[in-house]
Amino acid sequence: MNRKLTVILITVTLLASFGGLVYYGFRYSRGFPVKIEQEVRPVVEVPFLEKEIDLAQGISPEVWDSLKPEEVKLMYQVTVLPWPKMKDVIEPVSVKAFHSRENIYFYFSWKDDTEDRMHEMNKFSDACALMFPMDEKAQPHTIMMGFLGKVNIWQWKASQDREYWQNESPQTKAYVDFYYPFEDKELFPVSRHVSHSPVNDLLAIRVGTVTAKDSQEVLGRGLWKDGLWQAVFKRSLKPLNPEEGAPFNAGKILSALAVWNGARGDRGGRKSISDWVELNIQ
Amino acid sequence: MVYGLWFMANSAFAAERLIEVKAKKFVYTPNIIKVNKGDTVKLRLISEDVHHGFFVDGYGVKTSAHPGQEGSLQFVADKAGRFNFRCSVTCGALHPYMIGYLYVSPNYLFWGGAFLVIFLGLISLISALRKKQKDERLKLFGIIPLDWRFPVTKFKPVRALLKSRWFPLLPIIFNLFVFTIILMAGFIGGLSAGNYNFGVMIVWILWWVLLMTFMVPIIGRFWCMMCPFPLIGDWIQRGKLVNVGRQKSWGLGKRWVSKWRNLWPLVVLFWVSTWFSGFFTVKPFATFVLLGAIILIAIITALFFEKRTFCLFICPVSGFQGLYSNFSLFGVRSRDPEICKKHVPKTCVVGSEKGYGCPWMELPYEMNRNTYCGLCFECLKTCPYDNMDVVLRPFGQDLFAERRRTDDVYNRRGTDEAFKALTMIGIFLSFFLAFQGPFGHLKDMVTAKTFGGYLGYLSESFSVDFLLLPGLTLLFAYLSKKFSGNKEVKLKQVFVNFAYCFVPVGLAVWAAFSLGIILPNGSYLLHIISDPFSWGWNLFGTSSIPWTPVFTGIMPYLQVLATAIGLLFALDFGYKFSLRTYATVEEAKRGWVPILVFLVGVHIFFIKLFTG
Repeated sequence: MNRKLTVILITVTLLASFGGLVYYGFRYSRGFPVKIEQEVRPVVEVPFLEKEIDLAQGISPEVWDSLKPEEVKLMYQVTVLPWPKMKDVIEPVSVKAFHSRENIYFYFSWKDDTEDRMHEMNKFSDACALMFPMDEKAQPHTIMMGFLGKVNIWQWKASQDREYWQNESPQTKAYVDFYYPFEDKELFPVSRHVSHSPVNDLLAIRVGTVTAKDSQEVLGRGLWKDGLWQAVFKRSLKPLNPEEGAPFNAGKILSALAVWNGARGDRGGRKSISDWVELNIQ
Repeated sequence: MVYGLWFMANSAFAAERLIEVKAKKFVYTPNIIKVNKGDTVKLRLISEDVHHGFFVDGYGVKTSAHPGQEGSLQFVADKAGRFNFRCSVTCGALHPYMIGYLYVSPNYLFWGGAFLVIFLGLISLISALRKKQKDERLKLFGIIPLDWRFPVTKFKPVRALLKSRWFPLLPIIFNLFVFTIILMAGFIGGLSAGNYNFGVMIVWILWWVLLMTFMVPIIGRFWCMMCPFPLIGDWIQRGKLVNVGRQKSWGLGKRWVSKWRNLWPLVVLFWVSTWFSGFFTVKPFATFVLLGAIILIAIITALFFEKRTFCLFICPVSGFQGLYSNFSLFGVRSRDPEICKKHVPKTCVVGSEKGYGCPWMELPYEMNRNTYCGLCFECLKTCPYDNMDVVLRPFGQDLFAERRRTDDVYNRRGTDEAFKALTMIGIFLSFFLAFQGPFGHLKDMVTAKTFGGYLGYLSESFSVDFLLLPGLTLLFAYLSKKFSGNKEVKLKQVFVNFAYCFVPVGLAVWAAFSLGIILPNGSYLLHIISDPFSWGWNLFGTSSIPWTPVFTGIMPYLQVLATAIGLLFALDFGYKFSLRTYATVEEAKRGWVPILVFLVGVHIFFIKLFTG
């Protein structure tokens, strides 16, 4: 009798233990839940100012001095190995903005020890960008810009700034893309001509679809001085084509920032990015 | 001149083919591409969900496509035949089995293979027709006497090794360690893709392939010898792990139900376990659940039943190993029956201070078939006269062994073994079509994407395994009986005897199937041995080795070769079975013809599966 009881007890214990293991394993079979503290989104106020900036004359620091900056933290976008150490992340970007009912202006400033305006072999240009979701429901994170929905991206590049405002020709005749078979049938041709401007006005609907718009509506200008970049974007408040340009109606809209440090080898997907920032357009 | 005209005709039709292929988990559209030899293939790959790759076996060319981007590939189809194209980027659970077929006409290999099968059939027929009388001594291919034996234990180091109590305990302990890692990897791996999981890769790629290509056909129940699953049960029953403990099992020591002391439970249990093949062969956690459940059942069975009841009548993979080990090169046999006859008590059955009475409940002193011998070598340890040997013998010797134990169904040749042989062919068909075929809907059915589809898979499996194949075999057995003109022999006897032809056939097609798993996917093993838990380890410096398919160009040739070897044995054995089934040589000749036609037809179908 004792042996029978022992056998049954062992069997029940084994079955219960295995059942518990299976339950636990199945519950977490897709990984363990991780708690992420949701950071408070930075809010950039976009007030109305009865002022216009002529970028041909410069970035007009006196206009920007009157506006309160918002510090936006950046993180490095993980793309390829070797991943850079976290200490290399670009320090926070200071952002300001206003509109004049005709145009909207954005101001970026961030620390960068070197002024990288050249785009040559193994040399990469400094740059910064703004991204605006065009879909009504944006996903909670901005990693892989454009991966999750349609976006309008404005990318200012120091190399293009130099060519545009200082009227200097490009240093290289090299092309980054090449035509390959089936080009005619491409939905998003990678080698389309980008109009000559300091700012690339781009569209993307998911990863790998970044495409220059037919109408380049954004102008910009940058100034590097004493280890600090300052860049200003300017665009008409209303886009030429609402399907292709970010709308800036009064109220809150989302935006995300990105900064490239050319001296560190940032280019393409290797950049520092922010999470969503709220723009409060007054 | 004829060759020149033929060459010109082929060259003249060489064209440029622009093919757009859409990739979606886990199927390509189109899944079958047909071109002519010499065509320039320009391929455009579009992914409809995740990052997919496109690798062409034999050509070694590949591309990949992210969703929204496209991959392109261009090559000249200068090799004829059927080539698998497969995903080269891990895209989900069934990634290793995301396959399509590229046909480059003309398909010489298929026609060559089919011709070879017919040629072998004709040779067998001619050889049978020339037979005038029954041979007194059966010979494999008319060369090697089937009763020939060579005792490898005549070498003292071999006997010393097998008599040691540490053997096969040490390999078992090593495997226990490996399976502990497998279980941990399966548990941790959850529902991730299996091709980068230690558990899935070791069990379903390495172990299965070794089992079917080497262990079973050469050594028989070699795996049973070192399987770690019964270890805990043995320990509980015996009270000792290494030395000899209790002879009578601790626990309830019940005897297994008499009417199930055969392969029937294993026929059903293995078939039932294949219901879940779409999960446990690709998902780590499913592998954990399956192996964990088997270990648990092994322990519980040892608590309730005597000795190795679990291995004999419950373990799902025991049945085909037992049946197929009758074909293997090695077996444990007594040397001199006279010594055994006089030896009382028979220590190989009741045990001694040197070892246990046969844990597999065989009678080693008169054993003449391998079905229920687990190669534990306890009989070698307990025999005081060293009268037990491990013998090397010709392939398939046991398939001709006569029944010795008349008091028990335990050791007979019967319908259980016949059905085991036939269901293994049916299960091979299901596995091949689902895992190495280009049909996405079959993969969806096996992985239960829809409940209706899954029921369809189970119904198909039951119909093929238990109705179609046994039905066809029965039909040809009936024709054989009719053709033979023998009215005395029972149809059941004809059916059972000829079903054993499918033992070498089953081994051959499973070996061919295994090649289709290991050659394209073996390189994942290099990754997982260095990083078994996907924690970023690099224990042996191999974790960054990329997916590298090997010998996929010659794989169809090897599969045809394996199939042809299986047929060779089936033809040789089949005629011998015919001679045993029917009273006279003339009856055997006539009775052999329908079976030969059946075997040739089945093998042309296999050649079609692998190459056509």
